[in-house]
Amino acid sequence: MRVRVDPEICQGHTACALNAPDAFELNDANGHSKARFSEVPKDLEQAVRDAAATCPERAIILSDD
Amino acid sequence: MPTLLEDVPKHLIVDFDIFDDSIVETVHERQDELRKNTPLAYCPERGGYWMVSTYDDVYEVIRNDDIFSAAETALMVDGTLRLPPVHFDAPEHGHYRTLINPFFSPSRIMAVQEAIRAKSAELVDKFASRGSCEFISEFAHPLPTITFLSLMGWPLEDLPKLTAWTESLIVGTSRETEELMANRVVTQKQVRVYFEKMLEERRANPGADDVTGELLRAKYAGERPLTDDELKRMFSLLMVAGLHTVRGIMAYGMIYLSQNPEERQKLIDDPSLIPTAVEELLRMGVGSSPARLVTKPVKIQGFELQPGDKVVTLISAANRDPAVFGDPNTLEVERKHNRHLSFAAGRHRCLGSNLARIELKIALEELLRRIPDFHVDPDKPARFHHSQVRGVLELHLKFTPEP
Repeated sequence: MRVRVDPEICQGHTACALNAPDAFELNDANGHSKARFSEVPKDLEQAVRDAAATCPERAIILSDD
Repeated sequence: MPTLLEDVPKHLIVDFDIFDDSIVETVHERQDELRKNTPLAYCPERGGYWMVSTYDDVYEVIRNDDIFSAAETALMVDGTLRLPPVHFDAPEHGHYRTLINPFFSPSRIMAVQEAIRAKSAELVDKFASRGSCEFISEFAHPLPTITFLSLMGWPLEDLPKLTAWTESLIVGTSRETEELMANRVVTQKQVRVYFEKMLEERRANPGADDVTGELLRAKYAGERPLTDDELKRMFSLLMVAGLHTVRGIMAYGMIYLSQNPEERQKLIDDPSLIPTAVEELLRMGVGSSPARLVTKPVKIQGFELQPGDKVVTLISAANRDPAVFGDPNTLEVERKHNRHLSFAAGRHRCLGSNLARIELKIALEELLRRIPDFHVDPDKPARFHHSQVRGVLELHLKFTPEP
């Protein structure tokens, strides 16, 4: 599964980091998020799915391939 | 031209006014009805305003600043009191917001955690062995206020002044009497004088490494310093934004947890669940209902609103929309996929959200550790206030005294 955060849509809610701190890192200037990797490790898949479902802006894009 | 009362279809007019204190006891039931029967509703009071209550409509209105301007988020605020950045749209919004984002960033907030914990412990020390407390004046009010004063670099002895001013400015009632309005004007003047004095003092002694000092050095759009007027307005916003909001969530949180002892027990048994519980308390306890001003004709629920129409977003109704949240009126401390809108969405996402979360997390950790069996005192009813920021004025708790 691949993940990325759309920087145009992210507003720094930090819900992703609350769900999956190992998968997302937060910019210190504005709290905006970036995925730590584009390919999600198997053991983090559920947490990343939870993060995507919890983002109020729907800024996390997942693709199963 | 805003929609005139005579052009509002009769079936959209409701007998529900968010400024009316009397709705506080039944607000969630009333909002559930509204969401089901009149998802676009019109209240003829206060010059007339519209309300949206579904998650999807609230989400759209709060985020889509192309059509819904933030120039009037607070219905009672006169146009001349626009506070940057909340009452501005892009691009001005971004120019102001960029300057204050860093003060509320994750790492800045991490840095004040220990101070928040120490203050929480100190506040609890004062009542833990008494077996009772008035939670607002003894905890929920001082904690966020003192945290805020330290962050801003404002003197802690100014706590009583700030308390009196924010009471006057925020706690609106349906009895918007001449006296209350006059009092508000006096308060605004006192606040202005306070900030003017502060700016004078700071310009004479610059260099402090806190929010106030940094704002004095900041450059709007990278070009020019902020004017005194802008600084005063920003200070006013920062002052009112973080106090009654956090206090309300803390207070409602205590009420919900004491009503749901099994959920509370989960947190006592496993404090690592507290951050998730905080999200649930935010979902259920939110008191803010920001407004927007329509700038282009737009259809909501089949009816076309006109430029000049004011729309109030019932965030607490969106947060209990059964289309998004299963069992929405039930407290579930481990609720998953909790994409509540308590911090809004879009560019106006609450600046203080990280600070609010940390305050709530630490407060819960300390309270659950020290007075875990707290319950609302049945002999001393709580008092609430309504308006665009709903909250709690008085809340008496009882608990087993600490030995």
